Amino acid sequence: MNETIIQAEALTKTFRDFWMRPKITAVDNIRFEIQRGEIFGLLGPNGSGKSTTLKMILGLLHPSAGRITVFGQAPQDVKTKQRIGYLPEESCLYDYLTPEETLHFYGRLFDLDAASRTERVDQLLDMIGLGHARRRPVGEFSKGMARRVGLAQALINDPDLIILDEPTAGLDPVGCRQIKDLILNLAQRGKTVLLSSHLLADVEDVCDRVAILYSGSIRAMGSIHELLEEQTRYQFDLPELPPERIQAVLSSLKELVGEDLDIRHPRINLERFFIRIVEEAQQDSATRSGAVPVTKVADYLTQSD
Amino acid sequence: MDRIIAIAGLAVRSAIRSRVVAVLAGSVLVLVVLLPLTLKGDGTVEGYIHILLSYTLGALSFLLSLATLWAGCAAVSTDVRGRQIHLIAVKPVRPVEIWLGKWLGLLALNAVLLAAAGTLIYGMLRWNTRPAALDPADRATIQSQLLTARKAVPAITDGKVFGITSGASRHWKFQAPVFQTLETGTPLFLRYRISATDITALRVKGRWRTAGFEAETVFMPNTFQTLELPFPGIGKDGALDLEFINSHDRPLTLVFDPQHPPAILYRSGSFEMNYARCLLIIFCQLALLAAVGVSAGSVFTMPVAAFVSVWVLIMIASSGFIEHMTASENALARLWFHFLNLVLLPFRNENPLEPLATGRAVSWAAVGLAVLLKAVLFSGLLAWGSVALFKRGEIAGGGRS
Repeated sequence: MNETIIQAEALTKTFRDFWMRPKITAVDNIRFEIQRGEIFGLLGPNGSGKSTTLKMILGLLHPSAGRITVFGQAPQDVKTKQRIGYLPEESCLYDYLTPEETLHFYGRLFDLDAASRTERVDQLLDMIGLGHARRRPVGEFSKGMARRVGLAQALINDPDLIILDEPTAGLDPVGCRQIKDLILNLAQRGKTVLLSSHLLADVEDVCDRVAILYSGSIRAMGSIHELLEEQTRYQFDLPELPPERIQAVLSSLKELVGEDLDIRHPRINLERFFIRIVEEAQQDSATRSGAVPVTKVADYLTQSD
Repeated sequence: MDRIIAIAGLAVRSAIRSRVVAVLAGSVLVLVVLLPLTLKGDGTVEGYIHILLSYTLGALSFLLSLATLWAGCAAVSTDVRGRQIHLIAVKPVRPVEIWLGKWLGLLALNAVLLAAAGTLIYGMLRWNTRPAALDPADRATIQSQLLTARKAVPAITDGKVFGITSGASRHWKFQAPVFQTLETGTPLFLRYRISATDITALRVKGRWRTAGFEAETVFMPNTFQTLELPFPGIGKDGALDLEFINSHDRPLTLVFDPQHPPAILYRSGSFEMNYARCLLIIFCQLALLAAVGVSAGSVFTMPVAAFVSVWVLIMIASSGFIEHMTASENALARLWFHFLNLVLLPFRNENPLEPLATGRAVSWAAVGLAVLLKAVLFSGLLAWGSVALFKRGEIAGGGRS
């Protein structure tokens, strides 16, 4: 059964100057719905209104007009917040805390008891590959490592709705792939994911539906399949065949279609190639100071509700 | 509650790791150890005790007040500037819990620093008044007059100013049921302040008399004086009668101010408890200043919040002048100073250091009043106001001044 998790109706945000005169309309009369279990992407260039929309969903900004509900409630509702995990565009962590302290602190804000908090913190640190750096201050971390801690804090409460603002920013390709796998894994468990990004490949890889924003307005919205499929063109995938058989297939098709056809070998994308090389290199890895690439997802995030 | 404690713990951790606590503790140590050495008293042990209890504790209170205001202003405003508040505000945390957490964190730091500095000052006091350092008579005087807690029973007056001409006398009556319960031999002390109509007179003479006791005194006008009374006769109604005679050598009228009538002091408790009560009142004042800082930092950016807080400190320091100006002849000025006086009401209090340094009791009632008004009522009002403004504003907006 469909359950609407986020509903935006005629949502508008106008920023005003000191004298309350309208300065800029960052989000202009947008409407959308996100259903339970969906991975929804907000796409758009810088300044298109993605982050402003996310902040209104989170209650960090108030709409100038229109209405937004999350789990059927106002975004400021404390019970609503209990079910949300948020990774901001910049990690916004306390520099002087270690990853372990950071996760314990945010866990306490969710009223998690000490035992389950400790269990989750251990699993999350293993998942983000920072178990070995659990007692180093976050201020000493690279942007990518801090980003991983930011992601872990967003998952400490096993949220039903995960909001990720530019989740792969600052991450290496392996980290990007891990985050994308994690997002898919979470969606399989019925979690709803809303992510904003200007990295089109990331969005295409994981999102069920996307909305493309430009100057605060939604210019296109729909499933990836609907938006990207070219209804008037076709593509065949053939198994490995001898060259003469290929030539025969091509000749037959040319005869039927009546014009020249394009034929080429399929390519894996650069991301998959890179990850394969890194995985091979990991075989001889020694001591590391950065994040350790892992594929493990925290146990509590893989258990069904 | 766990959320509030978590935020309070974070505030403490932040202060410790940013080395604020270390610098402050160092400053407190320097202040407590060096100030009594650099300030020149009158060379007596009494003078040293006065410096230690009045100036050192006063300077400590001022230093902690400044640090508390500054740290309070930074507590929320730096989280807003660094956007860490975004991650807290999207968690199931109410704005009032953020405010309380930051405030309690500051109170915990203040409690530790005040207790440590208070213990150090007490240790220095005891070391300098140890038996080996003083002759027994001086030590007995100090123990009975300074390192004690004495309550005051003021004389019954009609509230009018009156003068006593040369050779004339005036009877005072002091009545308190407690007089009848005092053990025979318990020393009583008379505390009085008398002005002279001749402002050039530096020393004046007066005679105090009661049943079985008479003493000629020479004293400086317009300053508080203390006179030990051997256990005097107390009437069956618990009343003590005392006569003052103007015995100055030349014609001079001595004036009693009804605001400061003579009072009989009697021992009502230990110095240690008095000292602890005094520290508690200072702590309540710090709690209120922490509330001012956290509230200002919740509404304004750090520079504006700091400016507001410094303004509050200056106003507190000028509260005597402001109260005096409420009697201004200019109606507009009167109105303005009445308003300022009202704003400063929460910060106004009887300075607990003055009675502590003169061996007078700081009452539990004064402590209770400080807790109720400063730490609960006025801090609560500040929390309520600033949380309302905080909720009204946008955490991720750029509209904070």
